[in-house]
Amino acid sequence: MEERKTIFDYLGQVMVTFGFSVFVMSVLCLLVGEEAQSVSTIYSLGKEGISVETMMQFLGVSVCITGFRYLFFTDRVIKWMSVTMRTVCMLSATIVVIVLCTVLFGWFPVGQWQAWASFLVTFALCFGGSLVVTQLKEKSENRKMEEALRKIKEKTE
Amino acid sequence: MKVEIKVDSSIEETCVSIACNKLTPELEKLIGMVRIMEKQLVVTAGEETFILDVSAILYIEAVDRKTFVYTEKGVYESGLRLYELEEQLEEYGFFRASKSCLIQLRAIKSLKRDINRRIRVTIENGEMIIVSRQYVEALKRKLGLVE
Repeated sequence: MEERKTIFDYLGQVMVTFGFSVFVMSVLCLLVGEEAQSVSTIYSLGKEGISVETMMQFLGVSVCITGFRYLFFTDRVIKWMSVTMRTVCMLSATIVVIVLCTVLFGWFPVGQWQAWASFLVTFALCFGGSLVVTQLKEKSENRKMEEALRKIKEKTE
Repeated sequence: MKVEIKVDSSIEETCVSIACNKLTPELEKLIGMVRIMEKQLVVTAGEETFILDVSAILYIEAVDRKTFVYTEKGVYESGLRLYELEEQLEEYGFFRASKSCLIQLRAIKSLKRDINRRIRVTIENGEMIIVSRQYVEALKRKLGLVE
C-alpha cells in the first residue's frame, strides 16, 4: 500500500526547508550583514543575526514551497503531468512567492534592476543546477534499468 | 480427503491424478497450483475455462476481491488470490508492482523513474502501470541493480 503521509510529515518538510534557509541566511548575515543592513530588511540586525519578523517570513515561504511540492510533485492533486511541466509549474510558483515577499517585506530594493538581476541569476543557478543533477541522475537510473531489463529478456529468450 | 503418494523408481513421468465426485473450489485451487508448476495457469472467461501459458501473461490485477489476468489476447479471471499467484509465479519472473498488481518482467517494454521515487512501467501492449514506492526496491533487486 502506498505510504500515507500525515500532517506531521509535511510539517517536518516545512521545518527542513525553513531550517536550511535560516542556516544559509545566518551565514550570509555573518559575511555581508553589516554592508547589506541599509538595503535589505533581511539584514536589519546587521551581522547580529536574523530578526524574528524575517524568520516568520521565511517560515511562510517554507510553508508555500512545501505546499507547491505537495501540489506538483505528488499525484494526489494532479494525476497526470510530465515531470518537466511539474518542474516548470514549481519554478513559476516559487518565483511568484519570492517576488511577492520581496515587494511586501522589502527583502531587497524593488526599484533596483541590479538587485532583481542578481536574484534571478542566483535563483536560476541554484534551481538549474539542482535540475541538471536530478535529470542526469534520472537518465542514468533509467538507462541502468533498461539495460538490466534487456539482459534479463535476452537470458530468458 | 485421502492423499495417496506412490513412489516407484520405474515410473518415467510423474502423474498427479485426482479422484472426486465433483470439483469443489478447493480442488480447483489445487489443480491451479499444480498447473503453475507446469508453467500454466487455469483461468476463465465467461463460462469457458482456459489453460494459459505463464509466458503469455502480461500482468495480473486484483479488483474487488477478483483476480484478473491480462494477456495480449484478452482478460481472464483466475480463482487464485493475488498473493497466492505472487508466491507461485515469483520464480517465473513476476514481481509485485503495487498492492493490487503483479507484472511479468519479460512483458515490460520500458521502465522510467516517476515522481515520488516510483517507477512508470510501460507494458508490451502499451498500457502503463506505476510501481509503488514500497515495491521499487524489490523490482530493482529483481533487475539485479541492488543486492
